[in-house]
Amino acid sequence: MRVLILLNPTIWWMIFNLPLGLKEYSKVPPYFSQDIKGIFSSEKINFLLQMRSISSSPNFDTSLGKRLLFNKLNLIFDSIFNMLTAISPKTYFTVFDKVEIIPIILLPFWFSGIIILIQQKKYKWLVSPLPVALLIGILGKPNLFFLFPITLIYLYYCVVGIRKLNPKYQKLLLRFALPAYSTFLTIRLFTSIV
Amino acid sequence: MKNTKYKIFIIIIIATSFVLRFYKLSSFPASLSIDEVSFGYNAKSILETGRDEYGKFLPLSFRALGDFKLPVQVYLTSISISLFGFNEFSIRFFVALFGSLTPLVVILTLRELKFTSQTSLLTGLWVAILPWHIVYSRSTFEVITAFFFVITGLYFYLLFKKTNKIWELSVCLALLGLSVWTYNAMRVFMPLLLTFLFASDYKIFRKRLNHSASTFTSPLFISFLFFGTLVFFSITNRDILGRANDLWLGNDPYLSQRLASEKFPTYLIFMQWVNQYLQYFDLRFIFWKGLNLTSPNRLGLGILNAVDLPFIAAGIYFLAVSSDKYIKRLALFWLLAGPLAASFTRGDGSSIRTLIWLFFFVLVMAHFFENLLKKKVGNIILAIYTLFFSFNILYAFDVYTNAFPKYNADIWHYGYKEAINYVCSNHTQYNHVIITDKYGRIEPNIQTIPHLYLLVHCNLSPSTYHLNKAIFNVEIKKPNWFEDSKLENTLLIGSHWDFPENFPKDWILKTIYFPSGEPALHLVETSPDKYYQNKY
Repeated sequence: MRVLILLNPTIWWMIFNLPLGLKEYSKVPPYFSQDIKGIFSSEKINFLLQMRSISSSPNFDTSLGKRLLFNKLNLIFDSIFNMLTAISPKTYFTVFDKVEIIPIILLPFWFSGIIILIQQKKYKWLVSPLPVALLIGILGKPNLFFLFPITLIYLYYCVVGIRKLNPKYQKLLLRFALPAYSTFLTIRLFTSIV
Repeated sequence: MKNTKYKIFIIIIIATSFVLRFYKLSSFPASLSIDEVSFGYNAKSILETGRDEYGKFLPLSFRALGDFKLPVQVYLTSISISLFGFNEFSIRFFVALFGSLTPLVVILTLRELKFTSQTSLLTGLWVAILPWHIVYSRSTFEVITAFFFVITGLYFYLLFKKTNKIWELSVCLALLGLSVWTYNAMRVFMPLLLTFLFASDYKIFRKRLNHSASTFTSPLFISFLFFGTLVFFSITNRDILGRANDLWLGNDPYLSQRLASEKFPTYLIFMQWVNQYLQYFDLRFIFWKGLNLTSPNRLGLGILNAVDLPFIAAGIYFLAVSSDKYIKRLALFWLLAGPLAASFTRGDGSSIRTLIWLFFFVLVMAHFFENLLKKKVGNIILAIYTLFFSFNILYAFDVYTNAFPKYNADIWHYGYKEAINYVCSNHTQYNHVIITDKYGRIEPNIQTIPHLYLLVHCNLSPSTYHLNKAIFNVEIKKPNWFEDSKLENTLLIGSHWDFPENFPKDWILKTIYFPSGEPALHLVETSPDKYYQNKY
């Protein structure tokens, strides 16, 4: 785990930009109140009413059936599914700003790590990103600093996956492939050479 | 489960599947899409003349708007046209038929994978009422046909594994081969599936080869017939390569912009591919918004029902801890390979190109049902699931029948049928008819092919069209008001953007509206003498 953290350029970027991170964390209360209001914004309510009023039958639009199908619960679910983007592998393994949050070569190990955790019935680790994602979603700011806890959990999944690897390949990955790729990412992140 | 009971349930499921796919098939979706008119007219042309719209004799690829279609769907449609005449029903018939039969093949395949009859039936029913599969079965989406061929092919492969009869392998290869000639994405998926099947069961093949190699003559011949010719055709046919190149993710405008200032373009293209691939694993795409039936970023439908989320999670758990290694490998293969073809293409996540992925969810749901039925509280959970599922289906039905026509009418070229029907019966009254090829609901950004709508809705003979490409006195172009309004006795059919704000409203013969209430097309009769005399 320590090796993966050490070889993760994005974490180093966050350490070098710690004041920025602290500033972001200090803005949590205003972010929170802003985004809670956003769930039931007038724009979203209008769309909901539109959905409720579209009907092939003219008398159906105000019926209980339509109200049951389209109500504020839909907007809550809509927000929850938006929030769950924070646990999507796409967020961590594709280019966030200049590089990916977790090096792409760890993706297969992240995936196998999840399968192993399911087989070992370690639900705590599998479920833990969910509350964090919901919290990030409520803040409405999926920036690197807020995504940090899930990044750590996902790195743990990678560790679980790597542990199952043949020791020979494990060495190859941790001593050569990952450092080389991380060096590339670091140069890319901190300079404009590549 | 007793055999008779099992058969009765199968009949009920298939009947449900047929009703959901065939009920009001001609009128829902309300209009034929550009792909459908293209399939329809080419099929009619093949049936009557043996040539496609452009006069090519029995082609293996059909030119459409910015696209090249593979032949199987066109030739199948020509059969349905010969049976039911040339209409919306016959154009959509075969896709609806294969879509309706898919739950049956799913049930049979699951039985071959050693699932219980109850599990197989429940999963078959789940497919029969899955909006993702229904929506695409009700229109000419060739992916439905291809999916049917793949699952039926897999079923015959599993039979071959059990009985070792070579004809079953031949049928399997023929069906899988047909799928690559049906839908473009299968050209990526199929080599992977064949490699997977062969690698998983190489011992069976080796044993059989050692025993009697000559029995493989017919499967080898079929493989060459379908796959060998496809490879040859793909290399030599510029149309097919052109289509692949057009859809290639590297041609994404945003990526092209970034590549211009990128020092390491390979990295960026690779990351773009990863981005496209991983977007299919986003829960919002799968359970909430993937079907794109409403406005972007608004309430809609996912490729699976939202209520399925906890049950899919449970199914994945049961699959991961399952002791059946073959099914686990098969599911893992389908999970990873399902969205692969779609990931090489540009644009947002496509629920059409990923439909082949459905079989992974079938395996997951089968595991969920299988384990649920073993539990004491299984029936209670199943009852709760059915309740929420029914509610979700009502929601999906409402979105599909009401919101979908409202928000997507222009994408489905709504209004052209009505306008063209008027032209078919009244074109002789005018000196000239001009029909726009661009319109839209919010802005005029939808490119259409009015000549094909004319050929289809006026039921024009392909042999005449091959000799003379002119259709009546019709010209296809965006009306140019300042020039065309001066033409005597002309019918202009255009979107409201084609006419200036102060144009004489009494010239409007008719306005066709989108279901959402915005004007789709104005039918405008010119009478310049009167107008310009009064004006000047």
